[in-house]
Amino acid sequence: MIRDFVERLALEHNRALPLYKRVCRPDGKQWAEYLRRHGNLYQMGTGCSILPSTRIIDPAYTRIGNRVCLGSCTLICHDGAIEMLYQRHHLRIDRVAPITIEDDVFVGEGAILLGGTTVGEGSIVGAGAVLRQSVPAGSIVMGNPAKVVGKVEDMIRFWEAESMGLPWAELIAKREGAFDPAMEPELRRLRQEYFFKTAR
Amino acid sequence: MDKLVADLQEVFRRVFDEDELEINEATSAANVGGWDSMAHISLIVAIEKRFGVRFTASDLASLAGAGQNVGTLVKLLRAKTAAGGVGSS
Repeated sequence: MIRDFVERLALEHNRALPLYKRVCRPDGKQWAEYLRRHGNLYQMGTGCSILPSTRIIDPAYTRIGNRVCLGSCTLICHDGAIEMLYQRHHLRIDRVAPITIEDDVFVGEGAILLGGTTVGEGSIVGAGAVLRQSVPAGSIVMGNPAKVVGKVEDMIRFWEAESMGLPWAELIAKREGAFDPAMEPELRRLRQEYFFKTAR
Repeated sequence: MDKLVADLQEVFRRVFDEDELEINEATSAANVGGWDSMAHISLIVAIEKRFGVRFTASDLASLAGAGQNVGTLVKLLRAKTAAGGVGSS
């Protein structure tokens, strides 16, 4: 009941945010909904999943499409060096550029997206990638500086084939979505046996 | 060197950007620098293009893990050649 009240305060009135995070521990979908309503992003679609630990430094210059999934990544649209350049050289420079994440993009843990980049529809940005240039739709991007290392359509064929060969393939074939809490204990047991020879 | 292995070697050299790379049927991911899971995908796609074949899900599964080696690739390509599935371009 308290949780519902706190959640309503946060989602409907943008109040008690620290309490909301501490008490309700919003998951990616819930946090994305909060951001969609109160995050002050230039544009944000629906059906997204964004972890509360994601850092969107300049929401006013950030556009996020539909069904976008962000791990604990960082989005920065400005160059903080201009403050130093003003103090030291009295330069009056502006270094701000937008970030656009198109529909159905996944961005992994620890990735950094810099201003002036667009992540094309259906792309995957790997964990730890530092993206300084835009990437076309359907790309897999990795590394620092991030490079396109493949196409999602190719990777899907491999991952499907690999999944079919796993000892728990039958369970995966029945699973709706990427995570089913009811199925997880059995999956964990099977994976541990496969990875480490014994389950704990 | 076997023609099929020689043709495969050309694909390997292009994908791994290494002109001197030499392979044989015993070559595995452990012997080729950079042959990780992502490079594996690029390699297989390049082989499909070069030989005019398409690997099935079952083929791809056999090329994963311990099957990530030239011997398995040659075996699969020979089977497809026998079935008349290998192009020349």
